[in-house]
Amino acid sequence: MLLAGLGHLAIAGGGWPQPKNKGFFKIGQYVLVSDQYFAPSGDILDIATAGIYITSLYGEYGLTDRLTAVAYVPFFTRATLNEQVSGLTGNVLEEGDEVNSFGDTDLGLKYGLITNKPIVVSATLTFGLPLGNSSGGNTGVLQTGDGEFNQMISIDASRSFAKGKYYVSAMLGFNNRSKNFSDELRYGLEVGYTFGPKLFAALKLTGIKSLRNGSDFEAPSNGIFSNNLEYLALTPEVSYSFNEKFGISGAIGTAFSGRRILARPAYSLGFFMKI
Amino acid sequence: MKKIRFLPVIVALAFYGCIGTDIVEESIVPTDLTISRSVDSLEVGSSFTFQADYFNMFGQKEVVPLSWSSSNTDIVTVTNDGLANGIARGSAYIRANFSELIDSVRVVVAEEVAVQQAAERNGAFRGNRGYAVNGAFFLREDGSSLELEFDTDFSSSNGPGLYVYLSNSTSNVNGGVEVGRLQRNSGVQTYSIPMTRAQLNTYDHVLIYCKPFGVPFGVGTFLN
Repeated sequence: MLLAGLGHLAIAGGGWPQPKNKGFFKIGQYVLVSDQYFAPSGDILDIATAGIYITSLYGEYGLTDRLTAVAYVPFFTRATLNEQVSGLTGNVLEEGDEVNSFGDTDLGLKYGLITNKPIVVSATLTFGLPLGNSSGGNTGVLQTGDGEFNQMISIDASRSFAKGKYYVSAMLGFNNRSKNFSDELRYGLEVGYTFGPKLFAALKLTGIKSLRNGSDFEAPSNGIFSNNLEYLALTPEVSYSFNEKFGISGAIGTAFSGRRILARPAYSLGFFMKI
Repeated sequence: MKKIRFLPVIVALAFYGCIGTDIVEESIVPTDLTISRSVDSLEVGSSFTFQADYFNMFGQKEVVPLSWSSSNTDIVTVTNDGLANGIARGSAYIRANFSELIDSVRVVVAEEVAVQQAAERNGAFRGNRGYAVNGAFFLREDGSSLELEFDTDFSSSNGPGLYVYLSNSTSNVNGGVEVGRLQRNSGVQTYSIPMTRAQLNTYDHVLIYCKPFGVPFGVGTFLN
């Protein structure tokens, strides 16, 4: 589910906790539609076109100068599967399918371990609540969640340069998955640059490595909720601030290698507010 | 109001995901004619109806006007419906013909024919693109049906919407027969296929197929 959540890190997040009573909030739309899938071997397979559309709220709020509450709430998630029609006869080979529901939700707490040094470090504990549907639609294969309870501990380290004009962040996390799903190592590297007072750009390299200590359950669905999924993705993101409070951001995430995940770019667009 | 006017755009984006349509272009394959139901011996005075299947350039099974012939009508005759009659001791070939396609089987005609074992084919699965599918399987005639049996060593990756198909392709199920939903991910299991849908030799492969997404998890190829 991190693919959807990573769109928030460019402005908020990283190793910096929010100052007390300050916050970052974002309403976003995430779209991933693909007719290709990274097979368990890493090869790309042609599949029936699958889509996932997530409308979410993301927020970070400083409870203290070191402790930040973090929430990712996909309040509307839609998964689709295209119908299959014979190009020869025009007959419908397989009906299409869809499911709409609340999605898997992340709630977490971030604590600033080192906040007053050039390199800031924070630790985050995130609980992934299985509020989505793990077997939806008439086919029973569409997913808006993985159906299991995640517990992830992650460490973020960040450093800014040139009075905050640009920064570098790194993240390493361990995601403990329940219901015999394999646990995961998650990692990321991000660089960001501010072009004047309003324009900001970031480039993120993110990945998931399965520890393969769970079952062999294969779910060639939209992939982002799969068991044993792996990927390495590059996501450029651009943000524009209208003023000190409000702004817009967009990102395109492309996995250039992976296993058990859709093999097309994911697009996200969001409007954020800082308090 | 600035912050609110974008909300309809966000909400509208959420509904862009209508169910679309994928046009599945059937690949061009060589046409094929196969005698799919046969015997290798007949008693003098007895009869047997041979059957043959024709697959067109799109791999689809198609009913076509076949012509049947015998290489030696003094030994065995055959009607245009494929009904063969044993006439005298000896051997001859029964041929099915459509357009330029021919298939034939050799038939021995004798005064007495030993009771024949039920015809059976066997093969073994292998996984596709990292999916794990292993084990042996058997396909045999059982009265008016075919019985497809997976052996004790059968195992398959667990997944949603897995079905068993007979197919002439290792990559898709175009023109194939859906046998049924995969009963279990390991161990012995048996499926029944009416012989109105397939004969023993109609198909070359057994596929473990994720039907909703069109992904073959594993392919089994007959060894005989």
